[in-house]
Amino acid sequence: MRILNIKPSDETPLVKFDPEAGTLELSGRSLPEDAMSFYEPLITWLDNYSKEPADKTIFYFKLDYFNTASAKQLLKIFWHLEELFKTKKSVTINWYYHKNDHDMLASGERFAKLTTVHFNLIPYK
Amino acid sequence: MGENPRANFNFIYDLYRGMVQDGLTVLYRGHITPEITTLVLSTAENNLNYLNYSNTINRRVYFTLVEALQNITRHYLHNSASDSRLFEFFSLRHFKGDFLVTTGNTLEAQAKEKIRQRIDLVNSMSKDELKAYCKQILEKSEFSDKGGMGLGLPEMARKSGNKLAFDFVDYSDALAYFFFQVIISGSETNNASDQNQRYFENSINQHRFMVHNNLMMVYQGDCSQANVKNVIGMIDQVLMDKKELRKKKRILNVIVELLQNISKHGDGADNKTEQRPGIFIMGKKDSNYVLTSSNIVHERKAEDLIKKIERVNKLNFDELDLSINVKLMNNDNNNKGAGMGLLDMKLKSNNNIIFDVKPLNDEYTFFSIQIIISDTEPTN
Repeated sequence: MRILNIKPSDETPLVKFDPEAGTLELSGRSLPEDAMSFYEPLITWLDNYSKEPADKTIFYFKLDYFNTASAKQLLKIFWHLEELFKTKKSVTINWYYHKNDHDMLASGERFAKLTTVHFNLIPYK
Repeated sequence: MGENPRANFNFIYDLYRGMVQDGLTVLYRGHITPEITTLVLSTAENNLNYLNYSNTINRRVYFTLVEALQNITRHYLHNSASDSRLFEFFSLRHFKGDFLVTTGNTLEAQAKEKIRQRIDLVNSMSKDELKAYCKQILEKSEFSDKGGMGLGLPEMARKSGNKLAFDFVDYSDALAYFFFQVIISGSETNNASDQNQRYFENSINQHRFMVHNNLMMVYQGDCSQANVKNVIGMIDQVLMDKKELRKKKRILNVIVELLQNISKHGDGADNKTEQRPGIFIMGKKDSNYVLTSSNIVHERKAEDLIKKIERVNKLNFDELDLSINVKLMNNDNNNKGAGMGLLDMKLKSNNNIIFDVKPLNDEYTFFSIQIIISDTEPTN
């Protein structure tokens, strides 16, 4: 299985999903109008990854901004990770937010409530 | 933005009437940075595609924008004074078939005379004289310490075919505010000078209006995604004040949702194109930011939208929170967006959504939405 590498643009985030290391990173900003088209390949990749996952999967969430259209797609990603978690694999979501960004913390808390995967809410300066 | 936020909708409606005829207005009051120049150029380019002028006219508009904006970034005082009357100003309008590029900035009062002489000299020249003058400057090709060659003014005059308009407003003994305008005629014939004078006065009045109402940005044009990015980029530049950083993200959040709303659900001026005409205005009242968007909406959709807004406005914080979760979990793939825009705007602003609807004819309405971003935090 190949690494999924997508360069960031003005409206879409950097994506680096590494199947061997089990590290999935999303960083930058996500505000595409048609979020579904952007996130579809990520979901497909996760489907395939779930068939042969690494022992330990860590999702590094480092977005500093996302629109509501992206929010829905993010939940889909978290639900895929939840499915993986249910197969007794180790799955963690590291949700990074700027220490003053209460909205991003609140969003992390919201997603954490909507899934059973463990969320680490990590402030940065 | 006036005592009563609703009163402001009349101004937007006036803009709309212009929109049908003219299709493009960008008014900006804040720091003009090289980043702003890039964003304005990109916005102009995207909009010029819909206005169907010849490449020659498009190039002239583009050239004038670059020169006029670089004139500010290169030459003038960047005044960070707290007096907002001194903020730099930029305006691009497509108006009655002509393009108006206007700038405003502070300069040292002692520089006035030199600038006046330079512009008067350029304005006194015939087309041939201007051509020879530009050639002469090019041949000398001496760069000033500010990086220019002094070719900007004569080239703008030559390419536009119109006289350069300018005026100074004294601010103090040491400072003056300088207005400058270039008119690019949409047709090959040059405009009558009294017509150009009216354009200039009109643009200065718009600046006055923006100062009076503390508006930072007015955008009227295509609101499809390419320009949404540009508008966001410009707002990024307007809100450079570190004290405002916390509000900045909420403002960007709301703007993205407002504009993507137009882009997704707005009715185009012409169904054959992707163009989504709309208006976006950002202003400040006390410490609150007032964000307004308007566009043309089919009457049936407008009724739906009103019901949705009224439903969202009735929700308390807990209900709002729950509604967002329900929307997030709803696995409806037919909706390109998430259908959460209104909920999110109320959540982020912690204020009710204000709206105004004006029927245009039996089928269409002009729909405005206003969001006020205040200092208050949402309460649990």
